[in-house]
Amino acid sequence: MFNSHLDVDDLIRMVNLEEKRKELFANLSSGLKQRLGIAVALVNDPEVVFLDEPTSGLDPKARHDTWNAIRDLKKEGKTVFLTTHYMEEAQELADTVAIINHGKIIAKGSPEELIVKYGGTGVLVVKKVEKPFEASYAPSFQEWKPWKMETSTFPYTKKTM
Amino acid sequence: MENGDIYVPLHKENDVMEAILALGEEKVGVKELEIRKPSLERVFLSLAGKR
Repeated sequence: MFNSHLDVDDLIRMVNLEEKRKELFANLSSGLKQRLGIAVALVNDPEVVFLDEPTSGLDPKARHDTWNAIRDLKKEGKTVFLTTHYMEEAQELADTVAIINHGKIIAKGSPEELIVKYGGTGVLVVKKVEKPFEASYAPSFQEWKPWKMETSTFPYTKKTM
Repeated sequence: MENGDIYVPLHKENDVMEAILALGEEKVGVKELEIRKPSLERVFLSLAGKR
C-alpha cells in the first residue's frame, strides 16, 4: 500500500513551497501549513486524497492558494474527497457535491445540477433612493435615453445627438 | 419588499428588462440594482434550512 513515493522536491514544487524549503514548520503561515499538509498527504502518491476542511481559518489569499493546489491535484488525476462548510468552495472545486445534514446525504450531484434542481430562480434586488426620482439630479427614467446622450456628460446634462 | 428593498424573482430572460421598465413607469428612484444568481449556498439553505 505504501510502496509508492513521490520525490520530495516534486512535492514541494507542486505546492509552491520552494522558497520555504529551509523554513521551520512553526514559522510557516496558516496557508503555507495547509499547503504543506497537502504535500504530506501526497507522499505515498495516493489515488484518493482526503482533505478535511483544508481552508478553514485561512485568509482569502491563503484560501485561493490552497484552492489552486487542489486544482493541481485534480489535473494530476487524483480523486480529491474534500469536506467543507464553504459552499463557495464546493462550487469552485467540486465535480460532485454531496450535501450532508444531520449525518445523512440529502442531495448529491454536480454543483450545476443541484443549483438547477434546488436553487430556485435568480432575484433582482432593487435598492430605492430615499427621495422621489424627480427630486434627484438624475433625469427621469422616461427621459433617460442613453442611445441619444453624450455618455461623457451623463447624468448631469441631457444633450441629445 | 424587505428592508425597503424590492425583490423581483427572475424566471425568464426578459424579466430583468420588464422589471426595470415597470420601475420607470412607477417612477421608483433606483439607487442600486443587483442580480443575485442562485448558488450552492442557496441550495444548502433551502435543503438544510436557515440557522
